Parts: sequence; structure tokens; C-alpha cells
Amino acid sequence: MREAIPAEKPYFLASLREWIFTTDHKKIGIMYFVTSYIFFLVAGLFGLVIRAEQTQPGFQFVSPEFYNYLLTGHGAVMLLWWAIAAHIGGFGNFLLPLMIGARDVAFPRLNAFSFWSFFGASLLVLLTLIPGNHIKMMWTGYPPYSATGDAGPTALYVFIIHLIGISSIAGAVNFITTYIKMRAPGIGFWNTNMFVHCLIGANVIQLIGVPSLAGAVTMLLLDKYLGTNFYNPAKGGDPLLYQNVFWFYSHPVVYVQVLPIFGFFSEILPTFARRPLFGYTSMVFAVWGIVFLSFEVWIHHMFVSGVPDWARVIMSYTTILIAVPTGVKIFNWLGTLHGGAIILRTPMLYALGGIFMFLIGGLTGIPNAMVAIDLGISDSLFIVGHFHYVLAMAVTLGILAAITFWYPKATGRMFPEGLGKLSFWLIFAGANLLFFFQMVVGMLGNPRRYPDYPAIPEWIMLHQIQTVGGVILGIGVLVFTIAMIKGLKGEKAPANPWQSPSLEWRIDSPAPANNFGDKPPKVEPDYHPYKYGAPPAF
Amino acid sequence: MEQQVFALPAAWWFDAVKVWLTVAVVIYAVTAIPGILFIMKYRYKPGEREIGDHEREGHWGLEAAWTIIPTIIVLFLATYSFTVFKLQRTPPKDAMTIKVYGFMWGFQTDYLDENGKVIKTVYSFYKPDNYNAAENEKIVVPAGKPVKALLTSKDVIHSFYVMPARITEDMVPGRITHLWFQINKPGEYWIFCREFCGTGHSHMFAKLKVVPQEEFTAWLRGDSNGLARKKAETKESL
Amino acid sequence: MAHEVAHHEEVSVWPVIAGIGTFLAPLAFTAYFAWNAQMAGLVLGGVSLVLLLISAAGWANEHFTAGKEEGFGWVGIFAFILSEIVIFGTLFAGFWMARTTHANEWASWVPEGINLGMAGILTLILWASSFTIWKAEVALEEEGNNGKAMTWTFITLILGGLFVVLHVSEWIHLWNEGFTLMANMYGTGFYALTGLHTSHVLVGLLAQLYAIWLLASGKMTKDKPTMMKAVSAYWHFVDVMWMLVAGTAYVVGTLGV
Ligand code: HEA
Ligand code: HEA
Ligand code: CUA
Ligand SMILES: [Cu+2]
Repeated sequence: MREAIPAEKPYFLASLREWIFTTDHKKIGIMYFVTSYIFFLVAGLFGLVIRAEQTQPGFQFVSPEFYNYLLTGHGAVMLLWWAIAAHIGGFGNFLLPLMIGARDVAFPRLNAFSFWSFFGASLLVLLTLIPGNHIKMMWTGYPPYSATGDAGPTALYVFIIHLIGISSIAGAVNFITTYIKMRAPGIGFWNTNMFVHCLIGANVIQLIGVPSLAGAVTMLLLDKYLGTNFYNPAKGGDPLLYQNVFWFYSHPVVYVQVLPIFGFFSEILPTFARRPLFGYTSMVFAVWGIVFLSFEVWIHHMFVSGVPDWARVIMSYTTILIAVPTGVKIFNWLGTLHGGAIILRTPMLYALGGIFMFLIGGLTGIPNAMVAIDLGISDSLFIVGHFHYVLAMAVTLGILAAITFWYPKATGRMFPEGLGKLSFWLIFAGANLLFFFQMVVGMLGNPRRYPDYPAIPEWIMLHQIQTVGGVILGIGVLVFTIAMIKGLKGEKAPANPWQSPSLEWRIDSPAPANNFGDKPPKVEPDYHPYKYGAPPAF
Repeated sequence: MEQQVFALPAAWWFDAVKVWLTVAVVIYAVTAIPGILFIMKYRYKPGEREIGDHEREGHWGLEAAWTIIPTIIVLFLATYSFTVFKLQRTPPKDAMTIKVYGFMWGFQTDYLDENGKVIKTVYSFYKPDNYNAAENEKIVVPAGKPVKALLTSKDVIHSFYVMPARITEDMVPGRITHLWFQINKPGEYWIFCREFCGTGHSHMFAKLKVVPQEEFTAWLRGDSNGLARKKAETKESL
Repeated sequence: MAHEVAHHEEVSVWPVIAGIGTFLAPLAFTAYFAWNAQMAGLVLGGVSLVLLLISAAGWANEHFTAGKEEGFGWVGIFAFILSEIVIFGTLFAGFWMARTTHANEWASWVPEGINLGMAGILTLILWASSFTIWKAEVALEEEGNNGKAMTWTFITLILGGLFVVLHVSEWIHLWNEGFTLMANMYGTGFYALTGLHTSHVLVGLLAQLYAIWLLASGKMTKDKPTMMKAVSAYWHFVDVMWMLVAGTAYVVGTLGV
């Protein structure tokens, strides 16, 4: 299909010096991914301790203070490291230039800086592990509590967000410019990979949203250390200002987290159904519809916070409307399955599992959006169950799907199939046991962020089931991690194991250091990433 | 569930949940069952079914249908929820008023007369390791009477979740928020703080004691609050 | 550097150094305020500043010696300005929320010495400077005249400097009157908005200084005008933002109370 590229060594065979000072998007992507995977394991372990503590009423393993620290760390790290950095920093960096036929991103040095700023934030997180530096204000960090002494060093919380924010804004500027300016001739808006559309949509949200979060926490910093009055009701400030500005970003962020996942599903489904993506055009509209709507709904996190009733009603409508573009995506995936020649390889299993779990997560978002129901379940474990279905299931399964799918391109080896499938079934079963019953106990009234609860018999039983699920889930993640490491010595991968027409598969596995060589790749006039013709090679 | 307890606005809340649950289960079935059928039916078979259908890359009719129908459903759900919301937020005219302060960690409940004067105060204090409330720490309300609660906080944000009535509202310093509830069956129920407020958050609770109207009137006149106040003073001086 | 002969430069030390600099700054602040280690905080802050300056210089130097310019900077700076607008937006939200919900008390918070005259003078200065930077851009991009562009940029720099000096003296004056950052929400909002804005003015001035150096050393020419474009776009942004800031901090803050 394309001219032979000069025999270049794979990108990862570089000296340590070249790794540290690299500006190559592939190496930066890998560094992002490895950092966030390690943080995922640690935050997951925190999650298991949290789970263990809730198994029985009373305080068994940890004190309430330490529980609050674990939960803060679990929430913040999962959201910012696992659910953003892994796929945007990691996969976004690795795949974006390959999918649009570019040599690198627009500003390679800025890209490296993004990573190091993110790495700095990771080091700050490690500092909070030191006793005395535990942050105990939850990932939401609401004032006035977060400005009191009981909450731990507020400064660290704020600066973690600042460093992550700098990294995200620089990354967003970079990706958006790359997409606008660096597409190979022949790649236009209507034949770009869905993953790229989703990634750029997510980064538009980052660009507009992150500064809002940065503003919210900066005001918190000033209030605590310089005595300003932003959130001080005694002198004209308002604690709800924080919540408004915080959620103005922190709601859209959930679509930052999930859009690239939708992108993964849209790449993987056609590949393993051996047919074009159904409704490509409406998929693109749906992505941009979600991006647009996501900024109009933030009050749904403040339905019980005391904001005026009219604001709650308006945002109840805007929130629930997001179901429509999201539904379009789900139905189009079904359309893709219809009439396919479906192969249940590990990536496909993970993707399908992710979609069906997202469906539950999305449908349990609906009662939260119906303001009348939310008044009864806000801040209960039902909410926690809802977002674990979308985050710990859809997003996590989506990232794991992507790992197994692009593993050959990144490492030159195939992902171990048997262990992959085993890990899928363990994770799938465990997570459903855990998070379904979390929603049930939430419906019964159990508040969230409660290490202890009254000994109500049904609650105890439901918590015990969850813990069993948690252990199975943990073992599943362990199996996956082992498979990922074992695979590095596994079976060699061909350049295009899935027989995909998409650009990133037209170069060697592992990707050569200079991507497509000196010139941009030749893209046929009727190129489309989802033209599945030949059967796969395995 | 306290379904046998007839409480408001819980009754409407349970209805709304049922409506949502029905819609959600139907949508899940309509989506997941065909999905699973397709996965079983259109399986890759070497030599027989090696590539998928290449003709249909979309279908405008279908795509329009699955945009429009969900739009109608969600607009219905939101409007239905809006009507319930109006009921939840409008206390009946004959409601009695209490004013509740959240603090780290506990609740102070003031009973007000028609002129808004405080006639009695109950303190529900934090118990770091149990969920037992002394008799004079229980928030007492009459059965079958709507109660409007004005909420605010003395320090950080808390919330007031009346579990049997399935209603929550945050207690924000510098603001007065409100909710109302009515419980028809006498008994003891849970009230929790559901907004994170630090170390004592999970033990910031109160017992809601619902008693017949006559008993309530007697209780309100009685002097059990003197005890509570004395206890409050000693706690505060600590 | 490592693979000069090859297609692209693949390594650079400056992002890592800049990364260490950005990591030490928060550490300095935390040490100073949260860990009660003032001395360590100051030292770390100093190190951070030095690293940031060195890396900025090295980075820029590498950028201008690396050969051809792709002209992406323009899209980049546009995207960056978009996100800057939102940062200002958060402070506006705070100011307006307080102004509307505390309309009754507001009058008692307005200090004697605040007046619209000063705001007017500052506005005129910025307007003038927006004109001069535009002249500089024209001189470079259309006439290719580095000397002329330098002169206009220099005039802009002087005007911007004047703005900062006048503004700081106004702050000192108001502060001494008891209208401090901590006094009430008007003080908080006023200093936060104008302070954030002035910090942007300072960044703009630094960028202009840098542009002058690029023009003088001939690194920036008619064919490589991206930096001039970016500096000018940023300065226009700072100018437009001033209208909103002054309109809020001065006009909405003092009128109709
Ligand atoms: C990836 C993350 C993610 C995603 C995608 C979503 C998606 C949605 N979320 Fe969720 N949410 C979170 C993460 C996410 N959420 C988190 C982390 C929190 C808690 C934060 C905290 O407090 O700590 C939260 C909390 C949260 C709340 C606040 C609850 C409270 O605190 O009281 C609400 C309220 O409206 C809500 C609603 C929704 C809705 C309506 C969607 C919708 O986008 C879902 C749309 C999808 C579907 C509906 C399914 C597919 C559609 C169809 C098949 C079409 C047909 C359907 C219909 C006709 C209904 N979420
Ligand atoms: C992407 C986001 C994400 C993900 C993936 C997860 C994953 C998990 N979460 Fe998460 N969770 C959040 C985001 C996420 N969570 C957020 C935002 C909150 C709210 C915080 C707040 O209230 O502020 C929350 C809150 C939260 C609670 C609620 C606590 C409370 O309100 O009191 C609980 C309780 O069970 C929980 C559990 C878990 C578990 C068991 C997992 C598991 O899926 C984890 C799986 C991973 C591992 C298990 C680690 C890897 C395995 C090993 C290292 C091997 C060793 C283990 C064994 C051999 C068993 N989480
Ligand atoms: Cu009070 Cu939680
Ligand atoms: Cu949300």
C-alpha cells in the first residue's frame, strides 16, 4: 500500500537520556500511560480498603480521618489520573498523530512540558501520603470545610489541581492545533477516525473548562492563606460560588472522561464486526452535541445545595437532554453489530462489556437528572453506584479494551488472549456485584462518604455482597496487569493484525521512531478509516 | 423500605422512582436484547461469514427515529419530575415551622411559634462511635402534620436528610434553605447529614421521633429542653 | 539535537527543566504557608524562578534556531486566550454574585478614594498602546521594517509600564484607606480582578521585551512573524479584558449603590 519506510528502529529502543528528554509523542504517550496505570493501581487499592471498611458497621480497619484521606485520594486520582491522563495523555498522544498521518504533535516541546507538569502533580500526590499531609476534603473540596484545619493542607490540593490544569491546558492547545493544522493531505473532517473526533471534542472541553476549576481552587487558596472573602458569607462571599465554578468544569469533565472511550468503542466495534461504523455522520454530530450541552448542566450537582428552584428545573431539562446524543451513539453501535461478522477477541469483549455497562450507568443518571428524584438520593450511595457504572465500568473497560487493541502497535507483541479473556470475566462479574448493590443500598438511604453506618440488617448484607464483588474485581485487575507485563515477551505482532484500513495500522508494529517516514502518508482519495474489506490475519 | 409508612413527599417520590425504573428497564431491554441477539447471530465463521455487511453504513429513518423518540421520552420524564418537584418544594399552608442549625457535628432544632419566637430547642449531639440518641436529643414532631424546616449552618456545609420522607437539602452558612415533610405513622426514624463535613460526618445524625399530636403538644410545653440546654452548655464550654 | 540530520528534533532538555521549575513553585508556597518553613519556602521559590527563566530562554533560543517555522503559533495562542477568558470569568462570577446578593450592604464597602477618573486615564493609556502595537505589527508584516517595528513595540512597552505604575499607586492609596483585599467582598473582588489583569499586563510587557530582542537580533523577520502576531494578539486581549475589568471593578462597583 505504501512505499517501504527506511528501516528505522522501533521508537522505544532509546537510551534513558532520550526517554527523559524526549519530545516524541509516542514516548510521551507511553510515559503518561505508565504513570497513570501505576496511580490507578494505588487508587484501586485505596478503593479496596474503603470497601473493606464498609463491610461491617463500626470502624474496623481505619479511623474516620484516614478513611477520608483514602476516599479523597481514591476519587481525585481515579478521576484525574486514570480517567483523564490514561486515555488523553496516554492514548491521545500515541494515536492522534498516527491517525491523522502526522510526524508529531504541533508543539512537541510543549507536549513534553505537559507531561512533566503532570508528573510534578503526581509527585505532589505522593507527598500527601506522608502523615500530616493527608488531604481530607474529598475530591470536591467544598469550602468552608476545605478551608478549616480539619481538612489537611489545602495548598497541596490546590496545587495538584494547578499542575494538572497547566498540563491539560497545554495539552489541549497542542492537540487542537495539531488536528487543525497537521492532517495529512486527504484526511478531512468527514473521514477522521471517531477517536480523533472524540479526543478533540474532549480537549475543547478541557480548554474552556479547566480554567474554571483552576479559578475555583485559586480563590480557595487565597481565602485560606491570604484572608480574602470569596467564600466567606460573613463578609459578602458565598460558599456556593465555589460549587458553581467548580461544577462548571467538573461536570463537563465527565464527558472529557467518557468521550475518548466512546472513540475506542467506535474504533474497536467495526474492526471486530468486520463492517463499517454505522451512522458515522450522526456519530460526529452526537459528539459535538454532547460537547456543547455539557456546559449547560452543572447545577445538577447542586440540586439540593440551596440554589433557586428555577435554576434546578432548567438544568434538570438540559441534563436529561444529554441522553439523546448519547443514545444515538449506543444505537449506532448496535447498528454496527447488526449484519457483522463478529469476532469475540479480548478487545471486543471489553468494548461490548463497556457499552452494556455504560447503558446502565447512563440510565441510572436519569433519576439524578429528574430533580424530584434527586432530592431523595443526592449524596447517597446511589450516586456513587451511578458513577462507578460509567467510570469504573465503562471508562475502565474502555481503557482496558484500548490497551489490548493497540498493544501490538505500541509493543510489537500480541496481548495474551487467554489471560485477557479471564481478566475480563472477573472484572465484569466483580464490578457488577459491587456497584449494582451499591446503588440498591443507596436507594434505601445510605449516605455516601460514610465509613460507618447504623446496623440496619439489609444495609449490612448489601455491603457484604459489595465487598465480595470488590475482591473479585481486584483479582481481575491483578490478572490483567500480569497479562500486560507477560505480553511484552509474547508472540510477535504483524504490522496490521486486525486488517484495519485506519492509518495507524499501515506502519510497522511496533511503530517506527519516525512514524510514516519523511513524507506524510499517501491517503487514497476515498479513504475512510472503517472500510473493512479483507478478513483479519489471525 | 418504609413503604408501609405513609410519608410525604416520600409517596410521590416512590411513584417517580417507579416511573423511572419502568422506563429504564424497558429501554435497557430494547437495547441490550437485540444487542445480544446480534452478537450471537452474526458471529464470524471461517469460510462462511468472514466479512460483514458493507452496504448499509447508516439509515436515515432509523437514525431519526432513535433521536426523536428518546427526546420525547426524556421531555416527558423531566416534565413529570417538574410537577412532583413543585409539590416537594411547596409546604402546605398548615405546616408548623422548625428551624434547624447544622454544626460540627450535630443539629440544633428550634421550635418556633406563630410569631417566629423560639419556644423550645433540642440539641442532637455527635456520638463518635455509636448511633444511640438520648431521649432529650430526639427531634420530636407530630404525626400527620406537615413540618417545614428552615435550614442553615453555623460552620461548614451540612445537610438535612429526612430518611422516611426521602427529602434532602443542604445547610449552608449564610443562607436559609428549606424543605418540608409529613410523617403519618408514629415511630422513630433516621435523619442523616449527607453533605461531607469532616471527621464526624458519618456520625452526624439525629433521631426523628414522630408522636401523636396530643403527645407532641404536651412535650412542647414540657421542660425537657432545660436538660438539653444544660448539656449543650457543658459541651460548648469543653 | 541528537538527530539533527534526521527529520525532527527529538529531544530537548528545556521542558524537563521548566517542569522542575513549575513543580518547585507550589512546593515553595506550601512550605511557606502550610509547613511553617518560611526560609525553605523562599529558597525553593528562588530556585524555581531561576529554573523557569533559564528554561524559557533556552526554549526560546532553541525555537528560533530550529529552522523553518510552521506558523502553528497563531492557532495555539488563540486557543490559549480562549482559556484565559474563562479564568477571568470565574472572578467575574464571584464579583457579580456578591454584588447582586449583597446589594444592601454594598454601599458601606465602597471606599472614599475610588474614582472613575483614574479608570478613565488607565483606559486611555491602554487604548493608545493597542494602537501602537498594531503599528508595530504592520511595520513588520507588511513593510518588513524591523527598526520601525522595534520603535512601535518600545512605545507600547512604555505605555504599558506607565499603566502599571499608575495602577500600583492607586492600589497603595486605596489600601491605606482601609480598602484591603481582606476588608470585604468588594475589596476581594476589586483587587482580584485588577490584580489578575495587571499580572497579564506584566506578562504582555515581558513578551514585548522579548519581541524587541528578537527584532533587534534579526531572529524575527517578515517571514517569521508568528511571535509578533502572538504578542500583539495577547496585548489586544489584555486591552479588551481591561474594559470588562474596569467596567466591573470601577463602574459596577461604585455606581448605583
Ligand atoms: C464518565 C462519567 C459520567 C458520565 C458519562 C455521566 C453521565 C450522566 N450523569 Fe453522572 N456523575 C458522574 C459521572 C458521570 N455521569 C460522577 C463522577 C458524578 C458524581 C460526582 C460527585 O459528586 O462526586 C455524577 C453525578 C451525577 C449527578 C448528580 C447527582 C447528585 O450529586 O445528586 C447527576 C444528576 O443529574 C448525573 C446525571 C448524569 C446523566 C443524566 C448522565 C447522562 O450523560 C447519561 C446519558 C446516557 C444514557 C441515558 C444512556 C443511553 C441512552 C439511551 C439508550 C437513549 C434512550 C434513553 C432515554 C430515553 C432515557 N450524574
Ligand atoms: C475512574 C474512577 C473510579 C474508579 C475506576 C473507581 C474504582 C473503584 N472504586 Fe471508586 N470512587 C470514585 C471513582 C472511581 N472509583 C469516585 C470519584 C468516588 C467518590 C469520592 C468522593 O466521595 O469524593 C469513589 C468512591 C468510592 C466508594 C464510596 C465510598 C463512600 O462514599 O463512602 C467506594 C466504596 O466501595 C469505591 C470503591 C471502588 C472500588 C472497589 C473500585 C475498583 O474498581 C478498583 C479496582 C482496582 C483495584 C482493585 C486495584 C488493582 C489491584 C491490585 C493492586 C491487586 C491487589 C488486589 C487484590 C488481590 C484483591 N469508590
Ligand atoms: Cu454534617 Cu456531614
Ligand atoms: Cu454531572
